[in-house]
Amino acid sequence: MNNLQIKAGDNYLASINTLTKLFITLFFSIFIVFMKDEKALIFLFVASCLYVLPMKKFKAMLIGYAMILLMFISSIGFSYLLGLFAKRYGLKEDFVMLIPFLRVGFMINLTLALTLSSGIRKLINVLKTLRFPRTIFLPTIVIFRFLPSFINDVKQIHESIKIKIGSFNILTMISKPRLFIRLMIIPSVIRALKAAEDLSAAAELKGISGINKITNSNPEHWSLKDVLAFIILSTVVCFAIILNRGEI
Amino acid sequence: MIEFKNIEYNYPFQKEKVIKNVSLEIKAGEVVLITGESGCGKSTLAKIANGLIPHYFKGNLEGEVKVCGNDNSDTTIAEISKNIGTLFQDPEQQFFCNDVYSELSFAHEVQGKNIDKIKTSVDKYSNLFEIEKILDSSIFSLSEGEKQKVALASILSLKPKCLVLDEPSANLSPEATEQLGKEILKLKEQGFAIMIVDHRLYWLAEIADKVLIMKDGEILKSGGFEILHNSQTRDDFGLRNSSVLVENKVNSSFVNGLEINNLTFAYKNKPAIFENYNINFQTGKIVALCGANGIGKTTLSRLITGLLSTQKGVFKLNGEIIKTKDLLKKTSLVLQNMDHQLYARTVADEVDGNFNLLKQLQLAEFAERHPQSLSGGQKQRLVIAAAIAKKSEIIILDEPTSGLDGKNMKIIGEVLHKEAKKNKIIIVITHDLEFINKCCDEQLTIKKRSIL
Repeated sequence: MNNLQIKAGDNYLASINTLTKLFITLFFSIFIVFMKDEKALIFLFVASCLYVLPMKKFKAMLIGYAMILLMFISSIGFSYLLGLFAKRYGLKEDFVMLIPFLRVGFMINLTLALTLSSGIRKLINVLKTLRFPRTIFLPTIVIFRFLPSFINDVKQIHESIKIKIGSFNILTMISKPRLFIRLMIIPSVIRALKAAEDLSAAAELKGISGINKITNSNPEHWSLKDVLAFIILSTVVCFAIILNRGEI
Repeated sequence: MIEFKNIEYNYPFQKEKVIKNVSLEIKAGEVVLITGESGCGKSTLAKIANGLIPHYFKGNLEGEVKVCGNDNSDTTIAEISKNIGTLFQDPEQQFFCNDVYSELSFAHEVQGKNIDKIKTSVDKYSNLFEIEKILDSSIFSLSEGEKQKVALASILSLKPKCLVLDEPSANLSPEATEQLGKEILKLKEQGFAIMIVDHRLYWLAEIADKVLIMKDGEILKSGGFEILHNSQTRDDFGLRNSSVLVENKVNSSFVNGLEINNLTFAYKNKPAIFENYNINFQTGKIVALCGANGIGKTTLSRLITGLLSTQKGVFKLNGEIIKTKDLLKKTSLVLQNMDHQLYARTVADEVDGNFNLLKQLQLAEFAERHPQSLSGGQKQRLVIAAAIAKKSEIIILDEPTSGLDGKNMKIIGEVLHKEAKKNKIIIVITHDLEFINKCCDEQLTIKKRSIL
């Protein structure tokens, strides 16, 4: 089985300071709310793909995109049905319906990049340095830790389905959504609930709720890569704003 | 050190008490074994001892629990955890970090210890459990046995005064179990109070000072280890044997079945696990596939199933060459994590309505229930039933009896024998000596350079 975590030296993302990556994720999670133009959102989505691609976690990305696609197709279906009864709620001709899904895709990319390229210890150190209140700090840590576990669970569920019914790919997911929900979604949801419970219990037993001072045994340093990351971030933000204002 | 006084407990939204009037005391330097049928409340007792009940899992807990003199109800889990270390039944449940080094150092960092002390501790305990070579590995890439070693090393490095071990031998090889036994004896001499919850009994004969046998949430019998030598007691409580002989199974000469020639396989950027191995599995036999933790047993099962592709090697089934992609159609594989393998709406749907099979595995009464609502032992039997229902020529089971009591182990053995008689190839990856002795016909042991 492949390692889920990217180690420093494996690619550029792992060697960027965790604080930089956390800042990028937090900044864009707010920034994206103000982006309403489809061109700006498509640009941001493509930029985030380029940001996350060097991690080579293609399967994790594809699973995320497949889920978005499934939700998008469902929303089109329901809008069409609504349109049969009330025209103003029906399918829109422009890209309005795509906007929330582009936002979700963008955030999936940023979250994958942050969680899979930074060890949990680094994330805890950064969150502790930023002095987040415990009510935000603890759930955030569990969420970050949850993602690799969940990806691992999805892989194993996919493997179990292959054993049971043979091939099961994206095409099957789209052509047989009911089968996809039963075979993939239900066990994934059940595993997600259990993983969340197990991780929270593990965190408690490790004494996380009683943290006062945490030792940083692997301190991170700033490098030119972080400066470069901030330059690229500023460029992307400027270009997205220009696109959003319809100036191009 | 660990004291329970008149403990009664029921989970939230459930009227029935899962623990009824339990009182026990584990003193410093004492090892107490708690055993009983699956679902009798053993693991719940472990959760009460480490404070997860009532601090994390709510419900109604009555009575008094003290660890090192402190009342658990007035102490936070973080404080309780400094005195008591817990090894879960599934070690993955207790990992919070993604790699082994981080897992070993994390709890020390959280306690704000000095960097040098943390490094010394990681070195010491990784050496002790022989996990130095996997310190950089992701926890998801470890074998179940390796996970158990990492979990134990992580707990012991925190130097608690008490230990709760829930099925500690479930995924360990006999050699690793023996090693674990020696470590527990050392800890006992150092004055640890140790609570062990286990179905496998033989390895605790020289270790346990007291045995408590539970049924339906109550302690019904207690005494020294000798009470487990009574076969009537074992039958009454569905327990496993108190002693196990290491038998050498004589393998019959290969006539017909699965033939694997020149098998060569390595994970990407890793050294080869198999290099020109030749392995045969005889039709109509239950073959135990053994070997040390992390040697490649599960990898071999994935190769046979076709989930992994070999770099080199030829598979022949009953004399005919079979392609990797066709292996998947002819094989059923029961993996260790049951939740990943259950998808149907009802238990009956999971086995395509084969009620006879459900009856054999004592699951018929749950036929209309959702598979995910079953207990651990019931799910374990159901995934085996589902694999059999697929009617494959090859059935591979990865540690099917880990965490199973004597009664359920016997049931699974009987069902597998019936399947083998239908000219099927049954491969059981197992460390369970009792299961090998009672239920397997042949035994193959994977070594570093060969298969014996």
